[in-house]
Amino acid sequence: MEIKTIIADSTTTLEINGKVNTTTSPELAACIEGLDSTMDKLILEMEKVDYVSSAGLRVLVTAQKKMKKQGGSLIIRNLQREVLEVIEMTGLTAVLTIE
Amino acid sequence: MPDWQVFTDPAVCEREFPAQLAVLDDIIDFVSAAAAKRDCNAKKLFQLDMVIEEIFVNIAHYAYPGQDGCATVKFIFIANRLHLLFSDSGIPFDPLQKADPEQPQNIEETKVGGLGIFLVKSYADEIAYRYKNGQNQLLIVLDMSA
Repeated sequence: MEIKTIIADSTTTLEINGKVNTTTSPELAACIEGLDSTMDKLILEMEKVDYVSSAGLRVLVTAQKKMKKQGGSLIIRNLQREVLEVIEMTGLTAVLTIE
Repeated sequence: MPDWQVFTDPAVCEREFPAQLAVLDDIIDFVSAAAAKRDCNAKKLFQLDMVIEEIFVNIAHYAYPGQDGCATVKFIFIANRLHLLFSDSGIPFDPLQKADPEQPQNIEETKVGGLGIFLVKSYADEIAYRYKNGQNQLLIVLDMSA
């Protein structure tokens, strides 16, 4: 998995490439945890993510909680169909913002 | 109910792994490489990786608290139905008894435990657990052509 961080004003975009699984998700979690707590918007660009396991789902939920707590928003963009289906199966579409 | 007897077939592929996250990719490769050589649906290959990861990670995290241990993976295709068996000698644990996670209502109260087993149960065409000869045994059947 690779993560590219793009910061523009108060919006941070993480372009993620690869699999978000048990072994890679700690890196994504640490990356998000280390972001500026004053940012208004965090965008996870996931067009190139072809796999997300439950470990990755935990990171998405934790990121959503972090952004809400600091008064910002999290947007998850361009999910591949299989990954979106995983999120739909767990019901997390109800609490995550997906575009 | 799944047929445990299929694992007496001499054509069964079997390998033992240390119950450590470091070998997760090796286990996925062990099974998925065989599946990829067959006429398998791409979506099912995705689900297979997920099933292997979620089950093995549970074993690596919880089966042997404070000590080293092993997990054995066996599989055999019968037509295009993959029969996959995970065994470990850790503490007895039936993952099928774990309640499914509640549908999340708001982010603050959303819990993320149990999602892995829930996904496995959702993907499996058949699934069964037994504790036999001091081993946890979890049998999963996936129709790889469906």
